[in-house]
Amino acid sequence: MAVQFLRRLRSGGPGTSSARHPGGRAVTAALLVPAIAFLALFFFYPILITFGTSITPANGTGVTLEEYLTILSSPKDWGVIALTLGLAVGTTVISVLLAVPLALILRRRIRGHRALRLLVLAPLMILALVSALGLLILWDRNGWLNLLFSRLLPFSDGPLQIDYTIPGLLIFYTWLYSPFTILTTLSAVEGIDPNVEEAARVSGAAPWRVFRSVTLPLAWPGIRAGSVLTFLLAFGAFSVPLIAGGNHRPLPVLIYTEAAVFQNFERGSALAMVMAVVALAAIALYTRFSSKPVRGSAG
Amino acid sequence: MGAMIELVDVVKRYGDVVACNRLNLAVDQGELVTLLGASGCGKTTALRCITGSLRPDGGRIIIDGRDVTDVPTHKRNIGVVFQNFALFPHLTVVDNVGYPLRVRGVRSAERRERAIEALRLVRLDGLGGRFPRELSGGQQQRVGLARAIVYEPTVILFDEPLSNLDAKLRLEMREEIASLKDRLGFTSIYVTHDQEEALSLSDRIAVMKDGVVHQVGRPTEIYGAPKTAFVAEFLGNPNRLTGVCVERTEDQVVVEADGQRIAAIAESDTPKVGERAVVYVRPESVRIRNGTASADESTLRATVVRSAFLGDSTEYILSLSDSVSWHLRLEHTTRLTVGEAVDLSALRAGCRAFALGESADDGTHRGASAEA
Ligand SMILES: Nc1ncnc2c1ncn2[C@@H]1O[C@H](COP(=O)(O)OP(=O)(O)OP(=O)(O)O)[C@@H](O)[C@H]1O
Ligand SMILES: Nc1ncnc2c1ncn2[C@@H]1O[C@H](COP(=O)(O)OP(=O)(O)OP(=O)(O)O)[C@@H](O)[C@H]1O
Ligand SMILES: [Mg+2]
Ligand SMILES: [Mg+2]
Repeated sequence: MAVQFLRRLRSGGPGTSSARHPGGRAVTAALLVPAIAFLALFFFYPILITFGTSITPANGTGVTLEEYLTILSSPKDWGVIALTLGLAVGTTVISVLLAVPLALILRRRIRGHRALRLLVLAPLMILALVSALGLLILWDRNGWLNLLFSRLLPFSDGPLQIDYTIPGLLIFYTWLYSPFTILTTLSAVEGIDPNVEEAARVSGAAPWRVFRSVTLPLAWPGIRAGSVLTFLLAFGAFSVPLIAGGNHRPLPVLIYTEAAVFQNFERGSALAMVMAVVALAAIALYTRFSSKPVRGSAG
Repeated sequence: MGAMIELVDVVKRYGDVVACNRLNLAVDQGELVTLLGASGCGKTTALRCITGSLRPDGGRIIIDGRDVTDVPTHKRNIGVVFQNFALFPHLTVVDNVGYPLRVRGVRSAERRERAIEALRLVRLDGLGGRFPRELSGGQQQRVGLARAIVYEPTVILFDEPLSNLDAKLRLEMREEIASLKDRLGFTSIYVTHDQEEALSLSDRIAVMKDGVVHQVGRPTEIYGAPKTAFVAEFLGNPNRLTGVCVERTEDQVVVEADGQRIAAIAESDTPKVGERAVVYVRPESVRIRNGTASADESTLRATVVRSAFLGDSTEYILSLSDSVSWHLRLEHTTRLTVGEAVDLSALRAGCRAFALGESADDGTHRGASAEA
């Protein structure tokens, strides 16, 4: 009796011995419920609220696009968007340029590669805020590095200014967010069958050509996945530019200032929506145009 | 002279492991030479020295009269067929095969034409648009083969190309490689640990152990006249009898073990009277004795222990003493029952005796130094 019941349950209903696939679909749907519920509660709902706030006039009734129009017609706001995008793109590019050579070196298990691997992880293990403060102390106008430089290069014109500058922010961002690109790149590069590269070499491909036509295309999915993470994290960075950005205020800092400092929730919400759209558009463009890294792929 | 590939005293070490120990080998134009040896004996290492992905610690490598020891891999003009296929997963079959032409600057139309021609040679017409993951194992290895022959390299190296394929396919691909070689006439070194593959495919075989070549010769020589105990043991799944040499004349030695005597040929590493010796007996030289033994046969007593039906024949496990068991294949016309006592005749021409060193070692190292 019980066995028969179980069997029936498993096969998805009485008499349907071939009903495995519909049953499988129901299971899939059931497994997705928690994830969907979570997303709805903590993602779509807040976004809806934010969007609602951004189109509600200050007096609380009706619908208005005023905040959006203000942003779109303000060169200053455009500047902020450009700065935020620029910092994120810059960080991503630098991270990829760091990650690829590093991965090529680390996979050869050179002496000390374990220590290097750990070092790559360091920024992830130390909290961003702590890192930022530490970096400030290191790079500040009166920080250790400048003390060192002033000793070593007595004729250099004044202290090197890193904090409160864009190159400084790029250094901070790279330190904090490149590990994501480096880790995925490393695992992608180490996942390449060495025989495949060997096959390219014996086929007559010089080292650079092997890299371009075999190594890079095969590592590309990993590089892309990690660089998307780096991009998004850099795009949304808040604490570091808040501390070390000075007058350079990317979107997250501006949103925080508007909403939390000036209590202008409408403008803050509108800026947040703009930020989300820009990020989405950037990622969409990136994934669209990076699916084939090398044209004609055999390079 | 006509040597296309020459290894001269090639040495390669990994730390304490000597993977290739003064390897010497010359492969003539159009010849297929097999490196045959157990796992870990340094076959792949030798190949990697030839391709240039490993720099030998000593010795020279000469290809087509040119010393390539210091030439980088991509300038050696070698084709390699890999054990795990090593196809480019991101390229279609045609692009995989066309890759060597592409890096040589062959224009796209000609490249495509030649790639398709190579695919036709390995009987893969029509699959050029697929990706490697869309092919079965056998098809993937054919692509690997096509990629290695498409640019007509000076030499082609095979590193156990068939060991990832199932038994039937292996046989088929073996034929394929043999017929390609006949048609295209390439020079090749073929690595395998499968003796049947080596015997059937090779012009010559180099039997390796622990980084040393023990014997080089035509398959019939290697099989019929092994020079060291290792070679005798490695080929042809011989039966083995260890005992003491009791008699030695010009054309034979007699070894006694557990009261049984066997006459064998000894050409190198010949045991002295009173010395311990091992005799390897080819299974096909053993028969069930009926009537009298001829002058060149030894008679041995055995008991049937087990039988295994193999389809076209039956294999019997026979016990000669507590510690010695032999295997013997018989047509179905002869039936033995388990527990039965039988008299065996072993043809002297199929028995090879070698001296066993003091250490009861199988004597291979001595053989090696005699070779060098
Ligand atoms: N990169 C390496 N580092 C250290 N030792 C190695 C390395 N590669 C091979 N060896 C050792 O060198 C010896 C020869 O290895 P090789 O791969 O040439 O053997 P092989 O004859 O090809 O074996 P198989 O039939 O299993 O492929 C082995 O003892 C192996 O353990
Ligand atoms: N993903 C795929 N897309 C298109 N064709 C495929 C795909 N996978 C396999 N095939 C084709 O289906 C047929 C059977 O492939 P399969 O891998 O099952 O063979 P197999 O019996 O395992 O062979 P082998 O012994 O060579 O591994 C082959 O002709 C193969 O080319
Ligand atoms: Mg090997
Ligand atoms: Mg298969």
